Amino acid sequence: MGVYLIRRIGQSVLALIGITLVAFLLIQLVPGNPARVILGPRASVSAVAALRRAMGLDRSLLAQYWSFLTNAFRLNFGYSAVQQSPVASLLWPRLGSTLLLTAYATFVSVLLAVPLALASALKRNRPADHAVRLMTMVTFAMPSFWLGLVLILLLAVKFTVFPTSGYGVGVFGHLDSLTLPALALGLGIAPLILRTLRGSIVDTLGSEFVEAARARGLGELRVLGRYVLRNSLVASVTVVAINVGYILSIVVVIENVFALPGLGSLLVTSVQDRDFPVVQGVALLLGAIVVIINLVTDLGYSLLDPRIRLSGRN
Amino acid sequence: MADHDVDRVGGPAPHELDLRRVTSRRDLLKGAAALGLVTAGLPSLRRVGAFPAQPRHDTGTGGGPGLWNGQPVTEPIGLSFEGTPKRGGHITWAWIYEPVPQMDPQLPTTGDTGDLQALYSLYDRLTNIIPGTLTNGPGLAESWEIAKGGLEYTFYLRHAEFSNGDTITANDVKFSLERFANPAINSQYAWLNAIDTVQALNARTVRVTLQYVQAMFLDVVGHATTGIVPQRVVEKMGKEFGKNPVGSGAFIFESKTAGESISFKRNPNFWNSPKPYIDGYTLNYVPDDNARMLQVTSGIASAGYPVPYALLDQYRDVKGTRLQLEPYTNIMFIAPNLKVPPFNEQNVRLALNYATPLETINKVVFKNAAQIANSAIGKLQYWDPEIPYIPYDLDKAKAYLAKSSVPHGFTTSLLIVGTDTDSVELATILQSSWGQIGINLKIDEVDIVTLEDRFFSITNPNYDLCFFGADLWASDVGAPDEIGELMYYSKKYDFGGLFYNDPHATALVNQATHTINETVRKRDWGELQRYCLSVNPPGIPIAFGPNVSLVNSKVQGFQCLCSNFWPLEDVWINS
Repeated sequence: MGVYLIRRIGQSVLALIGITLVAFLLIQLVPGNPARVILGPRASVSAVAALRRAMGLDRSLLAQYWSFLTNAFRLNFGYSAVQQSPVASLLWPRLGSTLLLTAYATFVSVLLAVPLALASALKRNRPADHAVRLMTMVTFAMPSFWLGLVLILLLAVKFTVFPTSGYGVGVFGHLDSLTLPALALGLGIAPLILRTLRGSIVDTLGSEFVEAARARGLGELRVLGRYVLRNSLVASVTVVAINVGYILSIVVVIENVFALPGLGSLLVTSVQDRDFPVVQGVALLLGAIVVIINLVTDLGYSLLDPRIRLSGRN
Repeated sequence: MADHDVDRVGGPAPHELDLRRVTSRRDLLKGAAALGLVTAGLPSLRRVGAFPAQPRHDTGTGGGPGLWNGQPVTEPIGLSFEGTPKRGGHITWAWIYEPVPQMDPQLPTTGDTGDLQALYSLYDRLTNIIPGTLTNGPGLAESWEIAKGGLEYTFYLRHAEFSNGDTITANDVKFSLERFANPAINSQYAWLNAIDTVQALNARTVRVTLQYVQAMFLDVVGHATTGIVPQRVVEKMGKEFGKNPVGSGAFIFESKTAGESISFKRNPNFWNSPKPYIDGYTLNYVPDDNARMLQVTSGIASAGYPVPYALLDQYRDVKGTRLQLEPYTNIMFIAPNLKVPPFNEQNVRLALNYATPLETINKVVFKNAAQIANSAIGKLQYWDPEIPYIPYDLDKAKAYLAKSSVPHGFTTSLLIVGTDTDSVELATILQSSWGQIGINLKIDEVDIVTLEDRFFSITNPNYDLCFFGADLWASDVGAPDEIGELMYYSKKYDFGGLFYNDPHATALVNQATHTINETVRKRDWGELQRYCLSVNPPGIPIAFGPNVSLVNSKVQGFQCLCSNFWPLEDVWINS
């Protein structure tokens, strides 16, 4: 287990370095001069050149990247000349709203997927099963931003159940404001969990131990809850973990549609502003979240299923 | 898409000529009436300084707002001054600008409307733009005298205090103007500076001597970057002053969340009491158009700016809100790269002008809200409404092209902001209309930063044609000098631009900007308008775009200055 853990952590660190390198190189390819963005189009050539030097942009790409990487290991993400603030001071306040949205969307997707998967599996190949699969196919195919706009029009404008946008004040205000975006995200990814879970449930329902449990006279609810679902969920844990990465890639769009102050909207504005340090910081932070969640999932999976641990050792 | 005569893009229907002339004359007359007060009052304004200001809001008896009914905006529509101004309330404003990164007016910002609006609220200036006009009136300077043919200005300050209670003195004004004039500090707007020396004659009198006569100097000292700062505090705090400003304006900085929102509260020491009426306001960065408009209609925000042209019909008459459309100094135009053949040929530029269906563009793209441009630099002081815009005439376009080095046409590209649907629509219309004179137009879609980078590069401007759409190109002042010099005398500045170099235009600009003689200025700017529109145009002017906001019905006195800033001290809220 120790060897497995060390190996996984090592892979995660390498993955993070790869993410920062890709983000660094990609933003360099985007046309536009950050110093010009900061000073405006009518600043003099000499002023732009002086600011570029002050920002260290006249150094080689390797020197710039090395500087960023070494500072990042000390949790120093540099300084944003655009916002005139340390990058960390821009990232941390927004991390909370993105994490809350991600968690809420994951919760909504699981809340939708589990009962529907169960119902679909139990009514396999009957109208209810087809209806569930058709409905989830539709929500999966819909672009999240479009789904978000439809939810706004329906549940915020026509029926003023939720706010149209913004983050609200206080915990309940945040949850109230995040319900529509979480729903937009959750409806999109629930089908992925549902299909995997449905398949697992179908397999598990045919297992001998389930038959044995029924033969011992256990109630159907107990059989479903303790034996079927519990054994079926293990495979879906991986899907949920992968979905977190998918959600984090979509928050960039959702946070802009709903005017949420998260890392996604920060990424969009910092790319527009050519704010290199912030882009790199956001990429690193989002990458770290995905890597950590996947690492925890793998470790938790190996704890749940010793065969994973043993196969790794072998 | 709104109904439009797409099938007429290939050529004007016979009746379009008549319609165009009727429409333009009606609009021109409206524009002339609107500017009548300005032109009549100019000589006294600039000489005496003291001005019997009668802005609409002071009466408190203004009527209700009018509704936009699909007509070109030549006068403000939708403004409301109902009830009596009273103190109280907070405004939340959803708009497309990120909070200003630092609030020292003489240090660099991006120079966009968002940054300058914050500075406008925090600091007062010697002069201020009078709402509803193109001219400046008294600000911190109660009056002034002009001597030596415009080389010397003496300002007499009113009694006023900074937000920390310190009295504003001539030394503070001297300090602020000297910072503005120092390119090492003011690296962004140093190009506006003509100041030579500043003297504090006594505690409330400042004398400014210019390096040369700058006709727009009174406008310059009303610019957001000439805001008066407290010398003692700035010298003590240094760069930290930009994060913790102490100003002379109607509002005080309260709090900021970088990249998200910024809040201001009333300055209790503001000289123009009982203003500001509102207790404070918050600017929220909401880049998504739909989210922004929905925030206003749902009551989350008190106002939303801008309203895209595509949404004008949708928000024309929504309960609880009103659509405000106000003319200002915006000019939407296409800039050819005059360093690149064949755009360095006058005949080619004239051909492009005549091949551009301005009426169709205004109807389809701007939903008829814009006013077709008859000037290359916008509706500024000395704008002549009588000069007709270039009509859509393919025969004339072909005739001019036949006289050029590319009589059979050529292939070129138009640089636009790809995420702006108006720009995409306009480019599509031009592809069709210019195609009929043999011009094969490709559309090059980029983001705004890339567009500005490619356009303003002085060493390697990377474009053939570049379209500046709504809110991208507007004068900071009502005088034509700022935009006029940029458009007609580009080589004066060391940042890139239009590279226009016509001896006649250059001579006129030099003359017009370096005299305070109103007769000469009116004559020269009028001649520049005519010459640079129909004889040797630097580009293709399209339309004067209005400033469009969606405002909660309870908010009164909310209006935009000609320079695209809002004097929020004039705003009040009806319960």
